Amino acid sequence: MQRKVGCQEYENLSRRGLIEKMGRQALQGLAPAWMPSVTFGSDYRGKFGPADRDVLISVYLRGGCDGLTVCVPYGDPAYYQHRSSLAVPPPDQTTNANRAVDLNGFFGLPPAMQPLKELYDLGHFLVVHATGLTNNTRSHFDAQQFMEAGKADKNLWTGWLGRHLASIGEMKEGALLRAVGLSGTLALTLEGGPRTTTLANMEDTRYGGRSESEAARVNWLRQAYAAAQPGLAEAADNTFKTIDLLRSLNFSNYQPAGGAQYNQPMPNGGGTYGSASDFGNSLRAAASLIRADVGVEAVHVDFGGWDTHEYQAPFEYYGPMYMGMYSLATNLRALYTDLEASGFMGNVTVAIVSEFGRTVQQNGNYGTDHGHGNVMMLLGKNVNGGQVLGTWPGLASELLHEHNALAITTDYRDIIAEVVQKRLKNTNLSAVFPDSGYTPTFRNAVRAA
Amino acid sequence: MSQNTADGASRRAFLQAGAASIGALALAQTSKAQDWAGGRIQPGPIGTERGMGTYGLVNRITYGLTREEADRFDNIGYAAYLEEQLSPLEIDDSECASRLRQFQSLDMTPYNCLRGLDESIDPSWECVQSQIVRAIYSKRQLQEIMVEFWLDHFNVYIHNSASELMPTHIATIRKYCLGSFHTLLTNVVKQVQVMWYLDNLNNVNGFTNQNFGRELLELHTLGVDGGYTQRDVETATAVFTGWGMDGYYEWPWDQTTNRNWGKFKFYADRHDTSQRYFMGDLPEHLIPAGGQAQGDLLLQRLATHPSTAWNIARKLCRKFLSYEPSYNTIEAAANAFLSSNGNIRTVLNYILRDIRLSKWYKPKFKRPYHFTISSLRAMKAEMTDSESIIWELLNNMRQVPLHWAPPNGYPDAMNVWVENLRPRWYMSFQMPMNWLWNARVDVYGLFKDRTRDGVIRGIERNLFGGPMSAVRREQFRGVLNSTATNTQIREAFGLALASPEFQMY
Repeated sequence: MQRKVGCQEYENLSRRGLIEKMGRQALQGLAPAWMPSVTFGSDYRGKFGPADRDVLISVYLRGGCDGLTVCVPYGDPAYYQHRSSLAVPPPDQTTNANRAVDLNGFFGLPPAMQPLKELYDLGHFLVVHATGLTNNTRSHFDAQQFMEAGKADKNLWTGWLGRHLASIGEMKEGALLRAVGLSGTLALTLEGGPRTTTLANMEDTRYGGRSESEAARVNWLRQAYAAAQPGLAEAADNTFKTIDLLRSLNFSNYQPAGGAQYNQPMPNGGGTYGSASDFGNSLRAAASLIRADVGVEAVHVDFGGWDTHEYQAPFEYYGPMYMGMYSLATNLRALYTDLEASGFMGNVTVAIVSEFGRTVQQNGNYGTDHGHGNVMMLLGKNVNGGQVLGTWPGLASELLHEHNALAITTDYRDIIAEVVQKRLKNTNLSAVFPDSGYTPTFRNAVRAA
Repeated sequence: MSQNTADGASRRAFLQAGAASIGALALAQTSKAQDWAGGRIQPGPIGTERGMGTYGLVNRITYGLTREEADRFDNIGYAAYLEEQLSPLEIDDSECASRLRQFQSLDMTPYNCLRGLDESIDPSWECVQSQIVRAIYSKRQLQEIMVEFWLDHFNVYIHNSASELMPTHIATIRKYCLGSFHTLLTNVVKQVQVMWYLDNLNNVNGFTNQNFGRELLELHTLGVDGGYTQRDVETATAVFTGWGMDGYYEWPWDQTTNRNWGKFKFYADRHDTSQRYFMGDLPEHLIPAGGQAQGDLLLQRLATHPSTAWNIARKLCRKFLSYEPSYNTIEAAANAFLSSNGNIRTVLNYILRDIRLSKWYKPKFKRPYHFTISSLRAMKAEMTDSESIIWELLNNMRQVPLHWAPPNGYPDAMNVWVENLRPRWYMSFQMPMNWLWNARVDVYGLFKDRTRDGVIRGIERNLFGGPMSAVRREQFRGVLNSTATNTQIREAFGLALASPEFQMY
């Protein structure tokens, strides 16, 4: 950027900016999918190309969620021995709601997760149990890093999803953004991905200052940042593109389809709050990006609050565990409704992971400490759902990992790799999981696109 | 942007050599000679690779350059300026103190916070606000930088703890932030807030909770590769059973008459007295059966362990030098830690004694809080109320003080923050227009004459701390008439705040 920019040039830039702005307004004629005036033909989904690949929504449950509550192994008697007051009772014929609803005669969902039962029965919701990161760490931060990087390597600072994007061409030609993280900080899962950014708030696209000079100032910044150091230059470029994109989408007027309701009130009428309500907002934002059909092919959502060392109470509306599960289940259900009614669900897969499960034995504070094996979950119409996948290692004391945690029988990467190859159409799995000691074993978790 | 060059293998090498090199600071001085190559500084704006600027030290150990700080540095020189900032209590800070008088909870005991009975006083809110006031206006800038550093190190999420304890938590860190690490650690733990946040108040014999025991080893002292095992986590958990808070078992709290409410209390009847071994089975690893002395002994062992020295030295080098300091640099800083019994001032003095000569001194990306404070400082903003700064700006940038939920503190890394530039630009363009609530700037006081070059010099003097590049100068010349209009001046300062240079330090 050695070009001399004089006063006259500034005026020209202003004018050029104005033309761009007008161009954007013209673009807005291609109204986003949820605008009430638009009706789509049955071929709308075909914009991806009928045989093309899925959009992936990656959900990370930060803190180590308790998989033994999320999907209850009520058929294992040891579960009730280890959890005298935290266990979810087995299903039975009584009307007592505080018990599991049966999935397959061995596992069940707790009340807060039951909104997903219907999708399980439809075969669109899959639980994988006794899975996770095979590395033994019980540190949140190491476990998250290793899982998101896809390898237990402290010097690997790109994420598996970022490398997937980097190792395959864009899904939609000329897409401004290929991946979005819905928080103020970029998750490692997405690190290394091209045209990838993070958004704290999809509705706020203000540059600030006088509107008359905005285009000129933004062009000034474009020039300045184009020559900035690596990292900063790309981030700025992503920011300009993102703001252009978001302004064309009019997110604040987004209307979910099919009567889908994100952030539903809880059964007692109270609302969710904190990370539980943020999750609903994030899934709503994810749905809007997918339905806008602008080429975003991966959305990452962080959902915190699962580090339940105390008061894990699975039936208490204001306990962290109930509220987390309730938000997870109802908002995933809303996402499914929204995308199904708008014709997109057939091209979307949702993958939900957490860094580790929690100790099988409850601790002294009606909570659980950091454990090992856990659940992961997939949602999608091409998921081989309606089952709890995996080999159950058992909860009897002598079968536990390091005497107190669920053992792992399925490397979580097996499931992710299968999704990447079959649903995201990337066969370059050695780029996604660059671990010479690891070869993916497909578990028939999803069907090929 | 990798974040760890000094990897586990190198660290292990340090630990193996550790015993031999304790006290061998002279040896370290030789080994680091290659790191401190010398003579690499050209004049240039702070935050650029070309030159870390005349005022690089000022920018590294403060929340950003101001003309007052630059003048002070010019008057007394590098060594004296550093020494002055390392002795904060000798710096007159009365102007900042008068600004802090609006906050009534800062000097209150937990009991008084609890029993203040004045609903207009919100200790947690005052903590957030007063941190911002100090960061902008305190002359004890390095102290405030270190308070933020330790608040991240001993992170407590304000909504998952007792707000009545937060003023003393921060005051404890401020009091000990530059002294002995052992003293800091002991006082922070016994101030209770960290134990509250990490569930140790409920960690009692027979009903244990490993949260505090694990994070104490992983985050506060040894570091995740510090050589401990799950058994050591269980040992630490047992040792700290019964470490709790006076009045914790009283109910309802807000009716208490216990003046010691919120202070540390050891509950012997809730403590597991059995003897333990920590990080080994040799006699020197024994923690004898007993009461509170077990925890005191463990804290003392942890505070002086070579792994802790490495962990703290690594974080400080990363904070003050660059994201990837060399092994030799960290080793020398860790040796300074060990040979000074963990004296933080000594370690800082080593790291900072002439950063201009270190080839590991490299530009870093300002975290959102740092960016926000530095722009208010550079523009000499008069902030009457930080509320909109917090909710309109810091919240959108995702770095409100005391609001990081996991125990590891806001990350000191570029990649996690850099994608969220828009709120920074928003602030940059609003502030010089005086369109931020409750923060006023006198932009015309920041340059001598309103000629094109006069305004550019004002930007260089107040914001960049050195001459800008020819390319940037041309860009600014492009937006300023030969006699600049008021709007042009305001927007030029906005562009400067939004520029790549100003995001770095």
